[in-house]
Amino acid sequence: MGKKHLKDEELFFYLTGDLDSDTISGIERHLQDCPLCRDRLAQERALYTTIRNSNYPVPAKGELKKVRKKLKFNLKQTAGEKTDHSFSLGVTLQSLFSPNFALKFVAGGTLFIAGLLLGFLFSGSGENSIQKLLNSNTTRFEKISFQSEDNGEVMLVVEQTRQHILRLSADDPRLLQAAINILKYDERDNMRLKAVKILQYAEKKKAVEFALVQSLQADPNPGIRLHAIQILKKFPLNKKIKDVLVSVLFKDTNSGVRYEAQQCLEEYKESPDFPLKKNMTI
Amino acid sequence: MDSLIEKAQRGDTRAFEKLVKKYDRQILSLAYQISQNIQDAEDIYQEVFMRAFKNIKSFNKKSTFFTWLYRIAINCSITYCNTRQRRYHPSLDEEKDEFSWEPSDTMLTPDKSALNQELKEKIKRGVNTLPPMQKMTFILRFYHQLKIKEIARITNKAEGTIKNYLFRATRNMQKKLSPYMESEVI
Repeated sequence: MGKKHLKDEELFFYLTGDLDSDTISGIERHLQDCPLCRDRLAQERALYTTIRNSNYPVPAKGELKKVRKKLKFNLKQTAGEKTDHSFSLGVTLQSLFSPNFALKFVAGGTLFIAGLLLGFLFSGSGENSIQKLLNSNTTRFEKISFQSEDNGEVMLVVEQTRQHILRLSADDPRLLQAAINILKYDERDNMRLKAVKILQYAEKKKAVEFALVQSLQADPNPGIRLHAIQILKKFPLNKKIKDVLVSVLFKDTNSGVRYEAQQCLEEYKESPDFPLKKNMTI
Repeated sequence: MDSLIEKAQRGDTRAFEKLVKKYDRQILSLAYQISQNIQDAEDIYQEVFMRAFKNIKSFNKKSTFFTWLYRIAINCSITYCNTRQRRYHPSLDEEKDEFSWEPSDTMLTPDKSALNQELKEKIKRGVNTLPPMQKMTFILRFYHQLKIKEIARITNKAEGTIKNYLFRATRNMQKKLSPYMESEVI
């Protein structure tokens, strides 16, 4: 009669301790009498020990401190939105019944007056609320969308209410900040594409350059990476841009993007302003 | 702990921050282990805790807070990685990886230390090539020391299914690690 041996899974989970006590007892009784299974257990133990001792990386204290700080800011923003009715300049019905009605009435009144004064400068309503959204570090811009208009303006729409709309010219700095955040965080391809197109009107600032370089390195959509290169062409060449273009030229999975990177590098070479500094060769 | 949760459910951000501090190191580690990218891990971290804060009122104590939070973390990590599918192009002047290794428990000779480093890299790469559920189960079992039962609760799958994933993951890793396997000293 053939002897029944232990299964590989039984040996493995015996080592990891994920078996009930009856099964463990049965396995140990078998191991006492079966040298073949004892050898197999030794091999399983080698694998298990290797994996167990591998010590996957864990965050450094500095990293944890950084993300905690950012989270604290985000929580305050969110908590603030829950309690101060920032989507309306007036006093809402809810605040009329709150214990701190007097305080909120004064705050609301002040905001209202400030809103009237600012009304000459800003178009649309809910300016403070939109500015808060633009300044926030939220990673999901569910509430904001762009709508391009024929006259070159871009509408920034707060989708949640559809009441708060800002009409901004494409080079408005508020729009720029929203565009950078959307390019970095929004999961929707069409939104990131709109955002990157808006950046072509922006001044050649470091923040814009950084956003475009990041997009070129990491955006999964080749169309967006292509636009990023086309806009970066207008920036004065520096080491960072050159390095990322070289990296794209060799590593990008899309042939159109690689071609565009090559063209961009060639144009830099031909430019009379090309610095040809030490250690900068193409 | 319960009082912290109740306070957080009433909108107390300080209570929520205390809850965060109990688990965020593990959550950040998990995010990094799944995404293998620091920036993604940071984004996932923010997403997890913001989502937890916004939905904490719906936490009904049927599971532990830990299980509930890990469930959010896993869902966020998988969703994030699936939608972004970020290709990582390290720039030539990239900063050094800020994530550090945990110190080893054993004293190693220099040549063993070098081998150990190589092995760690091999394991890290091997884990990253595993299919998603095998990878998830592997990380939770071996790097977060969670029991099969706990993993099953977090992922809403049967224990047998989790065991299956785990076993197949280790078999896949065995193929990748066979030249580096420590020999059993008897």
